Amino acid sequence: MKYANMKLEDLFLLAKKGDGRAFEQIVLSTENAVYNLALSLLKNKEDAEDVTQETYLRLWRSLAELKIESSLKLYILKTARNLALDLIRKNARREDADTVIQGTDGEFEVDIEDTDSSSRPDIAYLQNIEAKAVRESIGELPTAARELIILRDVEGLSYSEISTMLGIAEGTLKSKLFRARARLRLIILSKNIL
Amino acid sequence: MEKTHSCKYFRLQVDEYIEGELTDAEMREFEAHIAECEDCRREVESARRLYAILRSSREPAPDGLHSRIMKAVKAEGRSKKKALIFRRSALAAACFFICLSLTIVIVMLPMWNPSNEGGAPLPADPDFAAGETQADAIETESIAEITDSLADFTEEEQPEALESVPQSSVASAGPAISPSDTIEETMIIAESDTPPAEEITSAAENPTPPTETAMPETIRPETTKFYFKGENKDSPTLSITPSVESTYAPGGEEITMALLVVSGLLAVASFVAFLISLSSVRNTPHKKDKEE
Repeated sequence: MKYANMKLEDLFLLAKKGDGRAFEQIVLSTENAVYNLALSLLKNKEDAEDVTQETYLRLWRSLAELKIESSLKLYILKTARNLALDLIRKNARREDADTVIQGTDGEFEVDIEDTDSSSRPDIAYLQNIEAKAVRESIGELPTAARELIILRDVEGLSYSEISTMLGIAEGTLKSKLFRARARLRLIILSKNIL
Repeated sequence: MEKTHSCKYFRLQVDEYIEGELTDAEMREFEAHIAECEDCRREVESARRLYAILRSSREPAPDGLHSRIMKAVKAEGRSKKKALIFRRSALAAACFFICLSLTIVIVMLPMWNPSNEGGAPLPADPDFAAGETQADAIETESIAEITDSLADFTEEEQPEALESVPQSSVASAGPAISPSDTIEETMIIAESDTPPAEEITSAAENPTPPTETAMPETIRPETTKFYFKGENKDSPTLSITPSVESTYAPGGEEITMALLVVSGLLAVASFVAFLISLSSVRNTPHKKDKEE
């Protein structure tokens, strides 16, 4: 049985029956996404590793009783997000936790005309160092904006999945995401990454 | 071409265009615009590249994180299995010892009979204990009744009663009873079927095979025969055979054996279940199987 080619939902059914290899494949398929999301929220690699580990421990413990109606990946990411927010509260960074939860962090107005391409460097020559530079730029975004960029543009979740996960309407989500992307472009421009 | 919308309007649609979320009409209008507007076209191209970089900019998980996660998960699984083993083993052990205790009680119960003397295990059957002295009681009572009835006759009447008997029958019955004989002298002579000591010894040395109708000696009743003095022994006046009652209540022995068998089987079954529970949790589902 080749677990690497199986869908997450099929692996989940096998893992519920006690198949340890299936559970391990679930971890392999999703641990990068979980780690990146945790890192985007916590901005600390050690904390992100702890949250990632705890996410899968909780999944393992609740495996027998768990029923996934939609996406297993979405469920895992939601668990990781909640754990990261709990850790933020625990670290007494309440302001950051509230802004992330409310999604008010990153509320900014960007004038589209400020991003006139005639004054913006051409980003066609970005290579491997560009990816690193972009990640650094993402790290400079506000927490809420950073989370949206990670979920949509890095992990590729759909608008409906993100709206379900964050508990916001799709229209609001698109509006926030638009502003987050615009802000990211400004940061990239300011760093002369191109 | 006259612009129906400004570049600002179309730049708001760049993300949706790249993600394919515009309607057919909106897409035709957008493509028509960027075909003519170089700035907007470059904006679209830059956005595409940025999104491509974002998708490849995923931070890789640190080395060792995966193994660390799986170690923690396996440790969690072992602790759950230990708890499961403990619960199953405790339950199986409890069942085993309960069944074993029942078995011991059922086996030992017949041996515990405070009224039994002499050491031989006997069931506590009051009827049997009474039966041992029953023959003596009957003999005593019989003697007492007969002597009482004899006492009802006067000394003068006794010879008359005897005289009423035809002389021939009296003579055939054996030596006549003299009127001078006292009641004690005419006392019943009790005999039992138990052979004399000499005969018993002889029988022990030369045991005869039991006949089909012979009863086991342990429960062979003793027939006690009472004779008047001088009476023909072949036709005793009174012959008493105490009834032999079983040492067990009707069907009691079978019930006890059935309970004993059931308890034993339950004890064995619970012990086997205990062994199975130990072996089943040793088969770890996390064993690494070779990939096909």
